[in-house]
Amino acid sequence: MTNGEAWGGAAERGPGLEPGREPSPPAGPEAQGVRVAQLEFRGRADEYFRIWIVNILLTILTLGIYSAWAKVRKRRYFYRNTFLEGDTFDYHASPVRILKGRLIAGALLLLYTGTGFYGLVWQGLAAGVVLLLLPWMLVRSQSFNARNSSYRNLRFDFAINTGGAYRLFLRYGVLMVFTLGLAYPVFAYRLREFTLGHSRFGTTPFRLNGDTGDYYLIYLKAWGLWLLSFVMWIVLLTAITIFSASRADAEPNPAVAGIMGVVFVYVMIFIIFSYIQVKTTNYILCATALATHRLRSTLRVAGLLGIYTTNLLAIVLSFGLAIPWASVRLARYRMAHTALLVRGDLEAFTASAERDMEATGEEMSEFFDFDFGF
Amino acid sequence: MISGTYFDGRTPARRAVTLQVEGDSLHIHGLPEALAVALDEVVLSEPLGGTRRSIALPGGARLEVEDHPELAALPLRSSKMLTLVHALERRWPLALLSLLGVVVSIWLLITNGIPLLAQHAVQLVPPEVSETLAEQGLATLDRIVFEASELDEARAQRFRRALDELAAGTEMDGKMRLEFRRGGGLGANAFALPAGVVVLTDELVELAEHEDEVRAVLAHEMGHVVHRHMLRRLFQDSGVVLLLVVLTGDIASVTALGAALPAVLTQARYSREFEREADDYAYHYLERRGIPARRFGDMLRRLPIDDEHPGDELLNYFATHPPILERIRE
Repeated sequence: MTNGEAWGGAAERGPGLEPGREPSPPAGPEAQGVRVAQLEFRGRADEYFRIWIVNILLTILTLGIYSAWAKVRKRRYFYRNTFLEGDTFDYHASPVRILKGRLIAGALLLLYTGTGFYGLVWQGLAAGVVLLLLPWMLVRSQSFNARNSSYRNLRFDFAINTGGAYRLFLRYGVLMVFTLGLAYPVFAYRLREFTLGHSRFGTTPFRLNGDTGDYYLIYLKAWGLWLLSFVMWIVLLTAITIFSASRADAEPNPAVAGIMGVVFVYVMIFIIFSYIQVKTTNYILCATALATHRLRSTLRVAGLLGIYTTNLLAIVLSFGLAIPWASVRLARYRMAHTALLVRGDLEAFTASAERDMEATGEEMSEFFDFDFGF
Repeated sequence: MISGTYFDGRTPARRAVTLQVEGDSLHIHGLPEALAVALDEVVLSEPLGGTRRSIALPGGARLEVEDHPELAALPLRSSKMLTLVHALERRWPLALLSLLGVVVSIWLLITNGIPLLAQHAVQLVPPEVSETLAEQGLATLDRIVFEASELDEARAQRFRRALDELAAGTEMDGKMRLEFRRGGGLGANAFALPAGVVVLTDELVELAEHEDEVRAVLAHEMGHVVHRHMLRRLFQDSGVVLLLVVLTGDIASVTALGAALPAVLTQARYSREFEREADDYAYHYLERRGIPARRFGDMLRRLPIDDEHPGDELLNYFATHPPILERIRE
């Protein structure tokens, strides 16, 4: 899994990095001692297909109850097939806890839909309540997922800081309202900084050494791309109109133009979404440090777009049966472009001793620990 | 002797070990100090695909072992339920049988389960809620597309009486309300909202060559009202989306777009079923009142519907209304 690539060479070749924008590597004589530990996903589409279809069958037969077990099974399959330095990750969540989280999320959804019947005021109120709970839910589910993930039997952790999450949402929520959304990239960056900064492997915290300005630039480029595509579209449309006007027999068909317009917008959203995803993931991961180690992400926009497009086509044409194949090859691609740049000792992490000390206090917080996501 | 890796749970250090069961304890060789743990204190993780299994030891340490048959022979505690699930997942014939089960149950849910549930669910909706929904729906349409009606009051009054007559004897007796609007972008059209609110556009009234044709349309809309189609559709459409979310739930990102298509298809299917039901209602009414059934057909034929592609199977799946010619034939 490892090769002897030195830090400098690796960073220069990393195609996902903006030249001159990558977070500066730790300079110094030790830089020579960096080796690239490549992540690898070894799951197989045929094997995962069988797990996936049985998951669905049992979920239907148990009227949805098994979905929590299905989720754990799916996630475990992906974690346990993700290799780093010859060992795998693992996922330990209790399905019962996930079921509880889903029931709460389902109740919230039902409440929200139900209030819709009674008028916009009530629905607005319900949306407000959900919005108020959002930072709390974010912190709780981050903590749940971190604590239930491990590598080499050492658990990840997340320092609960609910007050910090509320301050973050309040500060940037207000900023976004006043800037009409232009501050969104700043918020997105701070949010990632918050979640990463509170995550730990054992007792060792992750650090994000990025820069808001560089992160904002990614969005500026994406917005520029959006604008450019519209200019191109208008030029194209004008050209078509002039061309068809010059032919007497052809009358312009507004319906066709409309459909083409919708397709065009969808394709552009697809491309720009992938662009933002690739560039921000690369940026954030490359700026992430864990003790003396760093992460490296070299996703390519064209590569991911190709995978998304073929995945979507395969899923639609196979009536959904290609979903397992699509998930496996996406995971394989992502992992093949993610690496840990190891500097020093990878075994010098320690587990939290608090876990045993806080046994009683934990009980209370564990009651609120669940995974919300559907 | 089975070889594996030992992780103490305190550091990510790995140690190659071998394990062996002797009597009622598990012996681990290869650590600085020999380790033996009672068998009833260890738990073997459930089998999952071809992934490694882990043996949880007391105190948080774990052994990771490749999933080979020798392991299954050891008397270790493991989840019985998930071992059974794994047996189902391991073989292609069983997986294909599961696939068949999934297809059949999804089909049954869409054709019977969800409509049946929706039919019961609408009974639970209080009348005030239906009224709010109707008001909101009408207000939205008024804002987006409708304009005030220019129909003369005498005709409007005649159609209102016709609708009241239609409702006589049903549970909607005296609860119907007929609204007239200029359709604008919607053109000649009629709508049935919850709580007995029916909307006719001026364009539809103008298009009719005989007042019985309008009566036929009213009867069709009455069918929607009596069968509570709008509310049922609301429930059924949400049901389909919920089903898809539960089934495909964890595919985040763009691939989820692929799930939107089946939702649109089933929702269109539900809509066509409701239209047929409302058509039936209209024909029965016309028959009872001695109005020739062709009045409804005449009206349908006059509607400027652009998705008229008889025989085009693919488009049929997308259409929210059955093909006009088919409806007229019936």
